[in-house]
Amino acid sequence: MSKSLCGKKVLVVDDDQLVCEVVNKTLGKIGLECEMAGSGRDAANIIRERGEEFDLFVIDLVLPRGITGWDLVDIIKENTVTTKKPMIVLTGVFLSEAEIKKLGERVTVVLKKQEFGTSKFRSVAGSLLETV
Amino acid sequence: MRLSDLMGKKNSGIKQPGEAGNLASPKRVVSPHVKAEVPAVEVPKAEIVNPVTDLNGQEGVNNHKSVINDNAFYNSAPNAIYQAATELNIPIPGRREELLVSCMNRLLTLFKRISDVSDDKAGVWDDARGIVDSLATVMALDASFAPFIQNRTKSQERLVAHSINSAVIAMDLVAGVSKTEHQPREIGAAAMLHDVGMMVMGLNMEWNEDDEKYRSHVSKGVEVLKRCGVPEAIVRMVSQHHERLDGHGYPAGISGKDFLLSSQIVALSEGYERLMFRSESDDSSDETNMINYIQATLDAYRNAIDRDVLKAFISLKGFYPNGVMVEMNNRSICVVLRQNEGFPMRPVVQEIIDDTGNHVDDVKVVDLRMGRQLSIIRIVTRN
Repeated sequence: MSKSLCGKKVLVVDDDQLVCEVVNKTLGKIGLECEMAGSGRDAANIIRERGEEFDLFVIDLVLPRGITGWDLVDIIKENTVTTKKPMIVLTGVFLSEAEIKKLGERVTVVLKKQEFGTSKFRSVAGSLLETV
Repeated sequence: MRLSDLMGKKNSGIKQPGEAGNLASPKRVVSPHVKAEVPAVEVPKAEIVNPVTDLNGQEGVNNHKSVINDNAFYNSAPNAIYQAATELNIPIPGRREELLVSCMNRLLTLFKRISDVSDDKAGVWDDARGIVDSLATVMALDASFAPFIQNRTKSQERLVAHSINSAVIAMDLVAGVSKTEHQPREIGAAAMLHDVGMMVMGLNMEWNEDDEKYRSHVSKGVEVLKRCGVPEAIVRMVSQHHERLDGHGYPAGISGKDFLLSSQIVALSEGYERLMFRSESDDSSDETNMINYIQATLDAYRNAIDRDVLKAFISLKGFYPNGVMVEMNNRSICVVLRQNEGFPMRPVVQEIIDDTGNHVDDVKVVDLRMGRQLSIIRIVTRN
């Protein structure tokens, strides 16, 4: 476990509880502390109220009722305390070319749920945080 | 009812089929698709792994094809997530469909107890509440993809499936309606129990709705639910599930504010469910039967349900249901993949036949909210 990662905080946003739990446990093994939000609305409130607490955001794109993952990307980028923080989009849905391009301009990494692997995910998150 | 009447045409950026001209810019407070100005963000180069990076570490835009060729429809947590959960010793919840079927079987047992005159009805309400809690859990697993129980051929099973599906739709819909009189789970319980009178009377879903005997299922349901100790609030919603805002419903013919918003959600949910499954089971090849059940629901309930409830409904469900084939204004044929919430006329689609009439070799997915020149002109397949 890298000492530089210990205690760093991650906000995980997914309405699928299993995905949240998997990400939480995966990143917990390298000392990261995860807070989970099950809706875009909850996540937006957390980001607005105490976004500075987080070092990394892991976001699903399709979230129900109002605020989607796309919106959260905007909220994080427009908030001065979170704008430079790394973001991982972890999604299981199709993305159009335009969507991929748009995401590429705004988030750090886009990962597919279909190819999720614990060691690789830890490695991606760890490398993002160690370069901060 | 025109969709723009509901959604507010000026602000929605929604175009009705057949309307000429480009769409107005959709307005939304925050969205990657509509914000023209993006604040420049300085990201250290070392941080950028790649716009699209798969978990094997392969990089670059070429991964685009692998992104969209895998798994035609994402309808559950992908296997990789399940594998990771197993590796991490995280208990994997049952599949949503299985959980729903389990809820259906529990409700069938409960309905049989309610119908049984020799049963003492002890604990019926607790059991009903337990089923609603389970449904809420299923929805919490991944609300975006809350599935329905598919059509059942046996009359009793179809009725129970209808009850479960209505509850799921109602609990989903209630989140979009402000100031309802009751809590989501109470509304879900009412939607789940609304047709218990039909079960008790031995009626099925094909019964003529104008028949007096059919109509008496409402009062029969109210009567048995009271006997089972179901709270008054739930019983009241059940008693109103065939009422209409214009006063032309039954049994009481109430109108206006007497027709609770919570009851309207139950009424719309169960009506939508009926239309959806009637449309799916209708195997007539007559083109006039190729209705869009979203439009059919709007037509059926335009004077019956509060506009805010209808607005929440259309915002949630979209106008072109997932999976239907649609013809675009460039003559290509696409399948609707998913909805853009708040933009019911502009879902994400995948091209099946291109604008020259040929099948496409490469998968092309288009978000209609982003490209405003391309729009849907009509549905070409049954729902």
